[in-house]
Amino acid sequence: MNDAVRLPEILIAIGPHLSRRSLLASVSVSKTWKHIFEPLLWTLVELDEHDYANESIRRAMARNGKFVKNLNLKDIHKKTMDFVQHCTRLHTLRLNLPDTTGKELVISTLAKILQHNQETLCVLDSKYDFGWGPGICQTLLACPRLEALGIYESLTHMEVDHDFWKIVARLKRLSIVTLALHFLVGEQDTFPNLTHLHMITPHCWEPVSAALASRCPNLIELSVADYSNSILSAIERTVLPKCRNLSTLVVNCSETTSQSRASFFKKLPPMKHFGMSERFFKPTRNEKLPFSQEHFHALVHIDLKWCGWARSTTVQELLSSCPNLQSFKAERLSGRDIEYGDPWVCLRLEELWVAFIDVEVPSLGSWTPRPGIYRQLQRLERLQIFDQYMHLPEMSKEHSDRLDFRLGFGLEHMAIHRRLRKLRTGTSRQELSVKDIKWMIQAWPELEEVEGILHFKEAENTKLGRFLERNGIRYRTTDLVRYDEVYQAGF
Amino acid sequence: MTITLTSLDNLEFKVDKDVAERSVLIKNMIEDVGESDSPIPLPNVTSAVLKKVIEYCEHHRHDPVPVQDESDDPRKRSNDIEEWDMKFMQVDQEMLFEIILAANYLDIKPLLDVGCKTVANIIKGKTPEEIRKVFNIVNDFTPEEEAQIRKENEWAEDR
Repeated sequence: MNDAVRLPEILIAIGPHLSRRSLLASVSVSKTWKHIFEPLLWTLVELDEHDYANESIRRAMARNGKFVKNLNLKDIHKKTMDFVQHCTRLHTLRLNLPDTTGKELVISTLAKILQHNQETLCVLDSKYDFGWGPGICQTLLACPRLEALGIYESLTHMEVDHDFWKIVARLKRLSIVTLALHFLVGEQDTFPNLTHLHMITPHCWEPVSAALASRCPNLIELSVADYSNSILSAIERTVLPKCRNLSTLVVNCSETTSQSRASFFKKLPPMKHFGMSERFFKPTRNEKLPFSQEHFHALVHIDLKWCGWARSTTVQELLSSCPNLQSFKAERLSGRDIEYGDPWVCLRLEELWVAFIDVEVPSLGSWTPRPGIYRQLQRLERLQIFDQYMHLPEMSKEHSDRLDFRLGFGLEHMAIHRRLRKLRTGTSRQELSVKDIKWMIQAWPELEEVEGILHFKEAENTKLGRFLERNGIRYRTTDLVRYDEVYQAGF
Repeated sequence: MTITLTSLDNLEFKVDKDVAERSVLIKNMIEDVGESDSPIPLPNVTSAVLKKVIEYCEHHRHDPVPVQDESDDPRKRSNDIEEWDMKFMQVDQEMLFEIILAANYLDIKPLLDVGCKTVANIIKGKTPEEIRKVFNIVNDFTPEEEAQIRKENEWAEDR
């Protein structure tokens, strides 16, 4: 570079645009690059048990602790404080600890970290069950900037006291995962600061998540996994009327009836983000959503994974009515409905997760994919993530189908998707070859990750996976069902 | 209304006001000075670069003014470099850096973003040695220092 004097200025401007991988490479380029990019790299630090044996990291933490804004601890060890004591400006602390970690060690380490970072801490997200005793509550009350809290209680029913609700009263965002929550808040208490609420309460018989949400008049985002019988009508009766700013609603429930759904959808105002899933699958007749054009135009994110009532015609209707969709996840979409349905209008769609059915038609003795499917898919020029690995529920009479990703069997129709970054696919019939993978790499320059099964023969599958990795694309074989997606809490 | 801009090498460029005001720096200068015919001096920008910047502003003159809040993470924004911008950025490295510096100085955020994203895409996927090659950078680390850096940052590697 010729203009050495102005180099730092350029590097500083570029910094925020670099991915973490790029930052990691950049700190080794030269002394100037290291000086500029090291603080950026160290704004987010993640430590697990292997790192605690690494003296170099400990020494580097002494130097860079002041830059750390986000700290993720995957393990807590008696050495942890040696590493973490230099972090005094933490904004976010995340604990993702194995259940076997000793509770006392966690509580004492957490208390020390909170003390060191009292003035700056805004977010605490804990996926570890350490019991919400008065000690922790007191320490948290002393953090004046705390605005987001994530709690995970797996072993016990969560008993909370008045101090806990004092903390909640200050928060903007709250996430609770617990077996059951005993709700002890006084009748008059409201939480006007709370705008984002996530609750997973799988063993509550009462719809506590609705009860809490209805106390939050300024709620913008509500996401619940609540298996009480009446959650949908509780939300309809108590939450929708009170929370007039709600634009994101995600409901994971055990099952709903067509009456409760009909009544609920009539009352649902236009939403930016709507998701629903049911634990138990019940075959239903097709139900038309009573949505107005305002509803369709408002929707940006739709998630209907594991949603028994959302038939293929409903899914097709959404794709052909919602012009502003960015992400769409739905369980079943029939090739016939796609082919004969209205053109998809969601031209800005970036993520599509879908379980196809009825993809192929018999034609002169063999099976070919319906061309109408590709005609529709080709409208999605902005597609970045395409996941067609979803399974239909076991109890479903239909069978999940997949598009064949071989040249000559449909792959060539996907050339337009030049922004594709992630592909998830796989079928026991798939027989991709190196030729197909080469085509993908060439056609999709942004491709970062492929997940699934490329070839039904394991040896071939491995070979193709390695070919992808040699070309800088991450390849993972897939876990069949992603239960963890339903139970995910936090931010 | 036309504004006259003067480059470092004293060349004058006449541009429409709405085009010039894509630069927040120039926009503020115009507001401070008021209606005036005197040219605005840009001593940090050579004519070659200024010409490119004006070309960008003219093409994007009708774009909505970006409303960006400080906490916005550029990495989270979708990678939407449009065709025209991509072709516009196909310049030699020196010009690319000059455009970034000019966009920074003139406070033209969309142009700064496109320039930085372009460089970020060059860096993406490269090893430190490959980065040095592409930007002609001398490695001033000893092998021991390099090994030390790798050890220190082991936590950041994909596991």
